[in-house]
Amino acid sequence: MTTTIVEKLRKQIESFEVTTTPEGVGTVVSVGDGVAEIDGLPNALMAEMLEFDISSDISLSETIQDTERVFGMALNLEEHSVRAVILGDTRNVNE
Amino acid sequence: MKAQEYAQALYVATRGKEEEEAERILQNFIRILEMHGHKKILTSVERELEKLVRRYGCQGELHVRVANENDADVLSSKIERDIQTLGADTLPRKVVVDETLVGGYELRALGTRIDRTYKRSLLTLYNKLITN
Repeated sequence: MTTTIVEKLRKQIESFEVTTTPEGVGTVVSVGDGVAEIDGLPNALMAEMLEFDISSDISLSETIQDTERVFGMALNLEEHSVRAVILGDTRNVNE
Repeated sequence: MKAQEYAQALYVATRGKEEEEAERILQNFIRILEMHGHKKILTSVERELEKLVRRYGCQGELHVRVANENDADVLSSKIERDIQTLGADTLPRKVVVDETLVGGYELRALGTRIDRTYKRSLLTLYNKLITN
């Protein structure tokens, strides 16, 4: 059983390819009542899913141990900012 | 809404001014707030002003984050190529060393990011392994 799992992991690691593409990013300027105000993201679309980068400034092990991925949905598209509903633990989203 | 407008006005009025002149403008600004009976929104104006400074202050900068200073030299040719992809080769650079990145580099300019850090790769691998 263990050997099968290890073998499966080994294969996945071997076939893992890193693909990096430029991605639009913004800065969270305020968080409250489950809503984040994000500066930037001029190309965000209505109801688009966003991912909050909660790994910023914390170590890899802390990121893996303490937090889950946090997503949001863009609902208010303003001239310089976007307001998104946070779909997850709002405590992980910081200004 | 009023706080945003006041902050915008204050930002435009103080932009590029000497410290003394900016201080004088700020005192006048507070007096104007008092005259209009809006002094209680001063804290909100301050918050909006911080947003404006953050928004416009870093707009024309290229942020390069590396895990250690050595990486910046070793990966310089790759970094330069990605900077051209971002179209940010003429922007002033700000290099930050962040050990949590493990290795590689991250570029951020003009609202776009290229993340080639080992940390990102390892996180992607981790998420792939736990979801399959």
